Amino acid sequence: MNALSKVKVAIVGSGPAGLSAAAHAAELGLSYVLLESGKEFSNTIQSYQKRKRVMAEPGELPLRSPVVFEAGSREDVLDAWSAAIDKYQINIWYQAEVKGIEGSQGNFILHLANDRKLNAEFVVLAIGTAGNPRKLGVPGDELPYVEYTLRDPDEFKNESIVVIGAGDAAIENALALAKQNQVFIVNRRAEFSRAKSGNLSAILRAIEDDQLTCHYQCNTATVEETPGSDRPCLITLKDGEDKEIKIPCNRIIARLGGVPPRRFVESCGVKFPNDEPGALPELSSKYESNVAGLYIIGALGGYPLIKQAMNQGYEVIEYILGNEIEPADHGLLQNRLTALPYELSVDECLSLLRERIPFFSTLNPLLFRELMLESTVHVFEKGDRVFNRGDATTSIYTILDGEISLESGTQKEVQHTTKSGEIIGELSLISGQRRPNTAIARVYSILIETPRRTMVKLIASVDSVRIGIDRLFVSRAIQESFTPALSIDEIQDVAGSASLEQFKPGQCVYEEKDQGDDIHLVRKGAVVLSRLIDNKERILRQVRAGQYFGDISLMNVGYRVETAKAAVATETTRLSKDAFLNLIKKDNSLIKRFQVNLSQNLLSEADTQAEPRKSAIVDFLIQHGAGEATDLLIINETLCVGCDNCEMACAETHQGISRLDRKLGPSFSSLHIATACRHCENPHCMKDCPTNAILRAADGEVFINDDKCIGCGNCKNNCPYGVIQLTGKRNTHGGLLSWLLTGLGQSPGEKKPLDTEEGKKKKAVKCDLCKDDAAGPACVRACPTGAAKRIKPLQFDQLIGQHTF
Amino acid sequence: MYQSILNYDNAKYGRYALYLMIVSVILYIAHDPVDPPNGGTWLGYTLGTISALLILWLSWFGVRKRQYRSSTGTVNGWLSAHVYLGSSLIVVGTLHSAGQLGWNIHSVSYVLMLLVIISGFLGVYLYRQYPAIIMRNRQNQPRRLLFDELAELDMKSNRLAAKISPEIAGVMASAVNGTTIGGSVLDQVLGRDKSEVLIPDDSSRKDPVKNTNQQALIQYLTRQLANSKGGAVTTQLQELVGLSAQRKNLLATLRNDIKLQSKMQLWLYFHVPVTFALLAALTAHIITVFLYW
Repeated sequence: MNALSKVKVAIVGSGPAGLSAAAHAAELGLSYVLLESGKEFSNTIQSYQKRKRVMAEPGELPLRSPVVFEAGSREDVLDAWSAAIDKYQINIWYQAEVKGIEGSQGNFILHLANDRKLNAEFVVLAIGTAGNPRKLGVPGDELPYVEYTLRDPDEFKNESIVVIGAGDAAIENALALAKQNQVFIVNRRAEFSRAKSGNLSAILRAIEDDQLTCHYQCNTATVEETPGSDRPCLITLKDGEDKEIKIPCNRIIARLGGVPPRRFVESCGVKFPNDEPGALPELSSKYESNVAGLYIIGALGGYPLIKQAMNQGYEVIEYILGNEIEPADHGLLQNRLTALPYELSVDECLSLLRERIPFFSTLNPLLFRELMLESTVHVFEKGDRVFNRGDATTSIYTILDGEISLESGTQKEVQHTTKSGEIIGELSLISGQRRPNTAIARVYSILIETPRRTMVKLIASVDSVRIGIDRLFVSRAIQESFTPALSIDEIQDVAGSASLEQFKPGQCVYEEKDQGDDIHLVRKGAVVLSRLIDNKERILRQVRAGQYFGDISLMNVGYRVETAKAAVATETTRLSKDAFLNLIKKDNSLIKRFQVNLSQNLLSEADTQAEPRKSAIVDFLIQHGAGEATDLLIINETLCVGCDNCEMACAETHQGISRLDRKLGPSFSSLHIATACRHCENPHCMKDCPTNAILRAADGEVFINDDKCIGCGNCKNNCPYGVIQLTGKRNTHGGLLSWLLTGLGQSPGEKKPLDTEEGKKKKAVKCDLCKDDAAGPACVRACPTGAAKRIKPLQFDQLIGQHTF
Repeated sequence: MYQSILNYDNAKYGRYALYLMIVSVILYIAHDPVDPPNGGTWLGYTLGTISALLILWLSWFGVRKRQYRSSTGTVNGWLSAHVYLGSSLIVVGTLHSAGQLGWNIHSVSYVLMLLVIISGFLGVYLYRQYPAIIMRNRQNQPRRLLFDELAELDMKSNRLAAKISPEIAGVMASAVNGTTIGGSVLDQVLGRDKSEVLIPDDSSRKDPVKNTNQQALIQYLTRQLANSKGGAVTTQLQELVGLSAQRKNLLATLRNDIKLQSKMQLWLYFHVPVTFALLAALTAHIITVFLYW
C-alpha cells in the first residue's frame, strides 16, 4: 500500500455516524474508505459493558440510514452493524489512525499511522468526542499484550495483569480484575489524586489488604515479549530514583485517558468559536466546516445521540454529491412551527425568525435549526401571563411579535416593556432561581420558548450568545436588585462598567481586612460570609443568587469586615463604588432600600455571631449542599424513631423504589440531612444528560422523565450528593389490607427488581418531590413523629433560629 | 418548625380530647337514671358507642399509617389525634362501665382497653425520650457507618496480629469471629454481650472463654505485651492493644444502639397484639350485650 491511494470520500471514524456514511457511500457505489484507529469498528460502543442496553432516542426521529439500528443490547446493536458491514462489504481500514489532514477540497492528503497516506476529494470527520486512548508511548506499546480498554474483567483468571493509570477507569479495572488475578497498578504519582472518593478509599483498602500491588511514582520504561515463559510479556518500570522494576505479566491494561480530539481537529484547519471545553466547531447547515470539503458529523459536531449521528452519515454523503435533501428532522421542525400564524414554508419561517430576531441571526444555520427543534412557539393574547414571579421555570423567551411587560418583583407598580426581537427570562436561566418578576403580554404576542439546556449549550459554544445574554443579564439584575424604577437604557452605562466574576467552590471572593469597596451581586451559586472572632472562623450568613454582599464596605469603611467565600460554583456581577454612586444619582430612592436591606442583614449577622453553635449549623448546612439546594430533607433526630415509614412511603408511591436513604447522610447537632435530592438551583445531574431526560417542573422539582432516560448513568456520576440510583422495574404488590390481615402479598417498602427484561433494564431514578401529588412529599406526610421536614432556603433562618441545643 | 406528637398543631387534638372528657363527666354527673348508673342507660349506650367507634378508629391508625397515598391529614396529625383521643378513652370508657366490673367478658374488654392505653403511654414516653438518647450514643454517626468502621477495625487487627505471631493471630481471629452483637430479642433489649475468645494456655484447653467487653482479649494482649522483649513486636502489640480498645468502645456503642432501639420499639409488640385481643373482646362484649338485651 505504498502507492498513494485515492478515493472520493475519506470517512474518519467507524462509529454510528461514520459507519452509516460508509454504508450509504457503498450503496451508491462511490469510491470511499472508512478509517478506524482501533482494531474494531465502533470503539465506544464496543467498550460498553456486556449486555448494556443501547437506546434509540429521540423516539420520534425517523432513522435514515442503510445500517439497521434499534434499541437493544450492546450485542444486538453490534451484530446488526457487523451484518451491515458484511452486506455492503464496507471498505474499512483498521488501525489506520489519521495523524493529520492537509490540502483542500478535491485534494486532501490524509497522513495515517505507519506513514501511510491517502488522497481524498472530501473528508468526513466522524470521530466522536471520546478521543483516542492515550498510548503508553514506550518501546513495545504496539505489542498485542497492551490493551487500552477492558470490556469484561471476568474474562480473565489467574493471570498476572499490570494496570497503568491512576484515574477512575484504571482503579475500577484494577479492582475488578483483582478478584481473580494477580494485579499490579502503576501510578505515576505518589497518590491517587484524580480518583472519586469512593474509588479512592476502595483502592487504598485493596492495596493495604494486599489484594493488589501498587507501584507509586513509577513510569513505564519498556514492554517486551518473553516467548516461552509462563508470562508472555515483561514490563519494565522506572521509579523516582530511576531504579528498574520488572514485572512478568500476561497483559497490560493502560487506562491513561483519551486525547481530546479538539487539537487534532484544529490542526486540520477547523475553527472553534472559543476555548470553552464544550465548544463545537462552526458548521454550515450541511455539516461542512470552515475548511471547504471537510465535513463534521456526529458527537464532534454536537449531536451525541446515535440516531442523529447515523442520519447525518446518510445526509453528509448526499450533500457531498450535491443533492439538496431535507434533513431527517424536517418533519419535526414543521410540527414545531405549525403554531406560527403565518402561511410560510419551514425554510421561509426560519429565515423570517432570523431576520426579526437579532440573537437568532448570530447563530450558524445548524445551531439555529437545533435551537428551533427544541423550542416551542407560544401565542399570547393581550393580558396573558408568560410567567409569574415565583415560577420555577428556567427557560428563555424570545419575542417574535408583540410586546411583553415585565413587572418588577420588588416594586409591583413598575413595569418595563420589551419588544419584538428582545429576550426575557434570562435572570432565572442563569441563576437557576425562581422567576423574580412577572411577564405579561401587553398586546397579542408571539414568543418562542427555548429550554434551559439548549441555551446552556449555546452559551457554552457561541460567544455572541454568551456576551449578549450576559449583557442583558447584568442590566436586568441591576435593575431588579437596585433600581426597579429605571429603564434598562437608563442603567446601560452602569451595567457596561460592571464585570462578571467566577469563583470555584471554596474560593475566596475577598478576605477580611482586604482593601475594597466593590459590591457583588450574586448571579449564580452562593457565597458564605464569615468573620474571625477569637481566632475562630464564625459563619455569619449565606448570600444567594439575586442577593448582594460587600455593601457594608461600600458604606464607609473601604476595607472588608468579613470574608466572602464561594459555597458552590458561583458567579457574581461586580459593581464599583463609583458605578453604585452613579446609580444613586439616577434613582435617589435606592439609598433607602439599600439601608433597610443592610440593617436587616446586620441583624441576622449579629444573631449568628453571638451564638457560635448557630454559626456552626449554618456551616454544616452549607457544607452539605444548602448553598445550592432549593429543598433539603432534614430530619430532626430528637424526634426520629427510625421507623423508616418515610422510605416505605417513598417506595410505595414510586414503583417500589425508595429515592431517599434515611440512615445515610450527615448529621450535626440533632439535624440529619437524609440522602435525598436537594433539587439544586443549577442541577449537576442535568449537565450531561444526552437525551434531555432531566427536567425542572413548574414548582421547581427536578425530575427524570422515565421514557427518555437511557440509563447512561451520567447524572448519577455528576451528582455530588449520591442521590441518584440506576435500577430496573420493581414488583408492585397487592392490597395493603390483605397483607395486614392475612400476611399475603408483599409488605410495604422497597421491592426487588423484576426478573424480566424490564427489571434488568436500568434507568436513573431520583426524588421528584412527589410533584404529581398535591398533598406534597409522601416522606414528610408519612412521618408519624413529625421528624421529617422538607426545608427550603428561605426557611433556613427559621430552622436555625428555632433550633435547640 | 418541627412539631412532636404532643404539640402537633398546638395540641389541637389534646383540646378535643379534653372537651370530650369534660362533656362526658358533666353528663355522667347530671344524669340520674332509675337504676344505679350502668352501661344500659341511654347515656351508657351513648358513651359505649363513642368508645367502640373510637377504638375502631384508633385501630385504623395501623392502616392509615401505611396508606402512603392518602391525603387525609398527615400521619403526624393522625398519631397526635391517636394519642390524645386514645387517652380520653380512659374517662369515656370508665364512665361507660360505671364502675361495674366483674369476672365477665365486659370487664375483659375494659381491662384490655386500659392495657392498650397504658402501653401507649409508655410508647409516647419512649418516643419522646429515646431518640435524643440514641442520637447522643451514636454521636451523629449512622449505624451502617459504625458497622463499616467495625469491619475496618476487625481487618486491621487481624492483619496486624498476623504480623506478630501465629498464636496471637489465632487469638485475634477467634476474638473477631467470636464477637456477637444483637442476638435474641432479650439479648438485644438487655444489651447482652455473649462474645467469646479462644485463648491457649498451659493446660492447652480448647474451650473458648467469655470475652465480655473484649476484656479477655485485652487482658491476654496486655500480658503478652508485658512479657514481650522490645523491638518491633512490642510496638506492634502496643498498637494491637490500642486497636482492641477502639473495637471494644465501638462494640459498646453499637450494642447500646441496638439495645436502645429495641427498647424503644418493644412496647409495640405488646400494644398491637393486645389491640387485636381488645377488638375480639369488644366484639364479644357487644354481641353478648345485644343477645341478652
